[in-house]
Amino acid sequence: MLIKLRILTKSFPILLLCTLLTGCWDRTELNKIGITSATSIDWVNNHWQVSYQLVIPQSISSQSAMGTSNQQAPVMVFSTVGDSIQTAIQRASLEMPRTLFFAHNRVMIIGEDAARKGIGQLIDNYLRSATSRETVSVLITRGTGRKILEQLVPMEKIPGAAIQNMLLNEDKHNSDLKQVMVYQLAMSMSGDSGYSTVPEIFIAGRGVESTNVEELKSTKAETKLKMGRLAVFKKDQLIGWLSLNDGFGINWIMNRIDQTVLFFSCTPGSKHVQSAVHIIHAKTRLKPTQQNGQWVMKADVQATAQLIENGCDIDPSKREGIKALEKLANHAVTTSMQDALRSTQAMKADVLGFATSIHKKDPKAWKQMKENWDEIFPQIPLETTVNISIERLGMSSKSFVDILKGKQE
Amino acid sequence: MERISKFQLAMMIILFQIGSTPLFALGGKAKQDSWLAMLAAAICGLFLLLMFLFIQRRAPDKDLIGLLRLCFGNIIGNFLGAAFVLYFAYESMRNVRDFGEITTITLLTSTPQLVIMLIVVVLAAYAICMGIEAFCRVVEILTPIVICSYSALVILIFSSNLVKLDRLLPIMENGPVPVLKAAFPDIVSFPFGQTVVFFMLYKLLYNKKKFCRVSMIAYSSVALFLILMNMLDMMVLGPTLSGESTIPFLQAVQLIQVGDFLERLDVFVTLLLFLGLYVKLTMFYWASAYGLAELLGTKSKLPIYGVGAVIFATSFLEPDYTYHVWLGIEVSVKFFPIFQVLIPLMMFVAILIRKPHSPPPLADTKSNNIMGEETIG
Repeated sequence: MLIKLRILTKSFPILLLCTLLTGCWDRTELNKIGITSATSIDWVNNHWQVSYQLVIPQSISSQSAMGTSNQQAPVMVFSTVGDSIQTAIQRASLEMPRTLFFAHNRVMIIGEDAARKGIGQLIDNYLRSATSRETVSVLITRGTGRKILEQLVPMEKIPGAAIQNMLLNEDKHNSDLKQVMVYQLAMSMSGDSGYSTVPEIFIAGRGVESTNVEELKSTKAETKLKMGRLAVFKKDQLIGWLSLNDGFGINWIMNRIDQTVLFFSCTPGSKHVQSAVHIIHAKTRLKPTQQNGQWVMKADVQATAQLIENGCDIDPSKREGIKALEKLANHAVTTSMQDALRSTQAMKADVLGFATSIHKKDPKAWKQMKENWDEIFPQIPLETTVNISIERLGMSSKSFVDILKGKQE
Repeated sequence: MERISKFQLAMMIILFQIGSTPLFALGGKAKQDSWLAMLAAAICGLFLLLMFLFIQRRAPDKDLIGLLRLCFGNIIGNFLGAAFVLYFAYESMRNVRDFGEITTITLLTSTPQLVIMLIVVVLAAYAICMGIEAFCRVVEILTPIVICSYSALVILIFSSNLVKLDRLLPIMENGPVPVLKAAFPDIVSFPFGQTVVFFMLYKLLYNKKKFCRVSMIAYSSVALFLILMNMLDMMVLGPTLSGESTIPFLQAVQLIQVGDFLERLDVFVTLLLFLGLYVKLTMFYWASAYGLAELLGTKSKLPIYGVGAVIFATSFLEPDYTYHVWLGIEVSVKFFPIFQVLIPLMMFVAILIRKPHSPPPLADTKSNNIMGEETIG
């Protein structure tokens, strides 16, 4: 009897747990969710308009990859409107057979009006939700974000993923624009200066937008997605734009250069670009110092490079030649850094992280400057020392243009 | 009489202290100096542990209830013992609620909390019914898993280039006051002061030689680990995000992107959280049930069910998460030091005063006798 009772008491928890652990409340069926690959947000008529790029699974499966003439588009785009972002997202159930699933969302496109209105609420949504990721890339567009989502990208099936890959490609190999993820944006917005930058995406070209699969059948696209300028945010609001070149300089100042190609002219100051080096590795040390009561930022750049194009009348196989080329490259970096500084100072927008580095260096001084930092920032000069060493010349030494000239003589 | 080994004790201290701690931004008030606050609290906790161990060494064969009776006499001892039973049950209840809340926030949004908490309380009750020995073996098995998972996540965080050392700067920009304010009493009472629960465990050791050293080593290493985890959160997320986040470690792990496929490892964090919280709540639950059994002088398993039912029921009293956190951070820390510092301090003084009457060897034989009676009875 006692043994039976013990078996009963021991089997009771097991039975109870077995029934409870099935977890039927939160089951998610794969064919009941609509996977978004990109979302965009616009501010239209005083309402948030959220657009979604939903992946249509059957059209991206490998069977249909070869494509038939009446192939379905890989994604569909639709929008919902609401007073808050979640209201808008909730309205999606009025027109969708599936619940939206944001864990595979790759990019977030913000329309200019929404960006001017302020995107704090959007970031709150990301940080609060457990399913949407903070590794989503953020992009700004001039018009409405929805237009970007509608655009098909040749070579890639899912446009959302294509946009992120485009951004990563730029980030890794060119470094004019850097990928900005939601958490990075949240960090820089809440940082000391409160200014941050976000890359722009736009539809380049005139004519029919590639919203139709038929468009992809041609070898040339009339319009395409392209990345452009750099949007500047004060706290969570868009306040202006910086050019691509400014972006390049900003990345040099902020030590965000991975690999890039640096172009320079054969005489310092000239705008006629003739040579280029491939920067393999770069490091910038930004140091605030105080000189006679005035803060000065010191940027010390160390980089290694490989010569990839030589249109100058300089022989890089000689040591003096290399030195001369390095000097030209150094000059190019210095100019681009100073240009970027001028543009940001003209906007009084400290996107360069000067505030943070002064705060870290001297918290006491920062406390006094904090209040009118926007006025102090434009006065701060930047002293640069650039040291690029061209370590390799590639497979050839003298400029071919030079060789031809020699032949003629 | 159940017995545990020193290795099991060490594992228990490690896993118990890890608990859910690495997941929360402790000392958020101190911003980027929160790790300094942790350090200060950990050192303070070390002294507390030293005191606990000193008290325990005087009467190695007594548990907390026995020690309280020894120090303050039977009546006051029983009264304080009952208070400790309530305190342990309360701590356990907080962990049950944490378990429920965090599961709901991160993984199972529409599952009723009742179910989640019922599962975990039944599991804990089951482990306790099997005896503390069985539970210690469970901990022995879980600790390596937990340590490996944490290390894997830390390595992944480093390899996705998320760590920026300079986010820890500037150090102590507002002087040491905010750091100390963040450390005392908040971080001392959670998690470092919670070692008071081990008073219930020491007497079960097989071999009481060097148990102090084992405890100190285990405590110091786990404290160091917790401080490093706190620094890691800060280095990844910066003070603002890590301070505002409910579970900063989860937030940090969500950012991992290695080689385009090692992403979204949230579920590891949630599993670690489950393991840690489970160990912690079971330990408190056990201490409470065991203490109650001893107070009542019973050997039946009824106290286990009773305490379990109370823990389960009270975990619903708090209406929402904000209230739960408020109660934990604003109210509980005010009275936790009574149990973690004040009463042990009184015991310490009492035991010092009583020293001439009952020197350690005598106390040992005496307590052995008592224990012998207990086992017979």
